[in-house]
Amino acid sequence: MVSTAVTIAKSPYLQEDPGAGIFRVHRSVYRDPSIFDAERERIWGRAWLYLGHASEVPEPGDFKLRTIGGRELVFLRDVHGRVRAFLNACPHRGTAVCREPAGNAKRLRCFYHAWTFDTEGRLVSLPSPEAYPVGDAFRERLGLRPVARLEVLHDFVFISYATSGPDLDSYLGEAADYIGLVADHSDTGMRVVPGEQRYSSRANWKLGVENAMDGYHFAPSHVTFLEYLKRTGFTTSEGGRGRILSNGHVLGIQSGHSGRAGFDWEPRFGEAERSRIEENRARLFARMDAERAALIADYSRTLFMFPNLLLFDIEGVSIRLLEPVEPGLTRISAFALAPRDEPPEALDVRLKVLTSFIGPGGLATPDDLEAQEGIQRAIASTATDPRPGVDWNDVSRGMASEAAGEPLRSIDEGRVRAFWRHWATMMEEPEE
Amino acid sequence: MMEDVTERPIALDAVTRTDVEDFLYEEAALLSGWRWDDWLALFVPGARYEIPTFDGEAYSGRVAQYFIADDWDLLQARIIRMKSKQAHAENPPSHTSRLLGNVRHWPTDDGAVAVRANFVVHRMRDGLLDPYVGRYEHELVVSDGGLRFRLRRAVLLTESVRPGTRLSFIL
Ligand code: FES
Repeated sequence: MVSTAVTIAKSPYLQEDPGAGIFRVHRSVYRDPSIFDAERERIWGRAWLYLGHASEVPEPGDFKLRTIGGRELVFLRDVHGRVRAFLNACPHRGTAVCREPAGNAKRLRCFYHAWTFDTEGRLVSLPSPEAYPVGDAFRERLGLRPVARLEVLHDFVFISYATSGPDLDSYLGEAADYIGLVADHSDTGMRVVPGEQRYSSRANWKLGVENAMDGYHFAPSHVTFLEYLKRTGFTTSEGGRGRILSNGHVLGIQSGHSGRAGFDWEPRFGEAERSRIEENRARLFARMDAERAALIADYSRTLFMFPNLLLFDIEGVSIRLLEPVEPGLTRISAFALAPRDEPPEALDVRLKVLTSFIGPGGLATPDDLEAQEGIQRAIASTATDPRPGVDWNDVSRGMASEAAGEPLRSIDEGRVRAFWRHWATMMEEPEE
Repeated sequence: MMEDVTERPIALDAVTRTDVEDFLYEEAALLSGWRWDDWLALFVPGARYEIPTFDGEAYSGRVAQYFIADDWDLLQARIIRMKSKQAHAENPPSHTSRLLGNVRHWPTDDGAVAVRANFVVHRMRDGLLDPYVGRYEHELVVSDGGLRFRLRRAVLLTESVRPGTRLSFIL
């Protein structure tokens, strides 16, 4: 079912007139520091945010430092096996408790005055405790500060800095089903493969969202990648659908766009993979109904979960995390997700195929970065132009067919509009 | 991997540090000069080009996600792309200045030369100057034409690919 309900955006930064086929985004949303600060509060302070995959901290005591929504967190698995996230600022006088990017620890000790916390965040020892008020209340008050809420869905770990608001299930809505499809790639579970691609773009985070949700740029921007695929003997098919989900989450669906590691052979996977893929497909179809198995094996999907997760279920599975640093600077992390039991030769093919496209060294992503950084740089030139309409981006492609209730095409900009409508809602709602 | 090249057995003391340095300096000049065919001729067929990720460095490219894990096919595809006017990320091309130092080398058990060298590559583009700091971990073989790469690996030491930079050129 394709959602055709269109809410007219009410925002000083959006202009929408479906009858006239107008949808514009004011360029200050990419530049203005006061909008960036407001986003920190209204979006990043209230939404559910993707933190990481539980397989990144597989053993009790495993931890990773990760900055989400501008706050540095210790993402860890406690000694009882539960995944947790704490603000990395010491409850005493605020220095960074954890200074290693990753590791394993039974205790976290702040070096400044040697307060020591267990993996559940309790303050378990401090030098000369007799100098503090007698009793446990003091210690209990000064444990590591956990994030307000944390929930795990199919090993995808989400956090929220808001103490109230919808729970994760109602926040995700149907987006949860698409995360479920990825989790179902293997009956042995999925894991993040070592090797986080950490990079950044000198561009606003929302340009990263727009780029991933816009199939329009694909052919002109990635012509060298398409030529490479063609030379390997693979013909890409045109077409692809978009879906608008709830809460600003959107989805792109394609078939025959590329092969799929483990499920759908293409020539550059190599002959050896052909029979393994056949077996793997048979295994998949044997453990679930054919309709679901076909959804998993034959379709590529890109899910955007508002505001910081892009889940590419394409040639391979790539998790992309967007982290705004400044209006014109975004930190990006890309993780490869693979079946736990995937044999090394198959994993080799998966990583090669994924990296050929994705990341700052791929044959395609650098062109996306070029486009986004170019926007960030170039829109300074229209910022003070007095003429109406000059300092606006046009995002109207496909509005006519959208209004006629036709299914969304991935080469239209309907998903980008859905993102902006939700962004405007989040930004305009009065604070709770 | 290297069946198709004529290799002469390495006399372990025949390859000097000057040979290695000359090779690396010449390579740097080809890269800064955007001379892709001459650069690709410095590889034996079957060679690899790799840039590990920061936490993937301890693993091989076959069990960890790298930034770049090009086998011979992908390396050739990369060079076809570099030459295209439609490789937008490098059109117009960036300019690089490449400083190499601390060059060491030793023979490997399987008849190659392991090379370690530090690099500081400055990339200029869009009015910006970005440093890339790291070390090379190459494996060279001796062919009739001189030293050749069978593995060209650049290990970045900057904790992340620095703000706004990318690996769309050859590091
Ligand atoms: S700031 Fe951490 S112990 Fe004092």
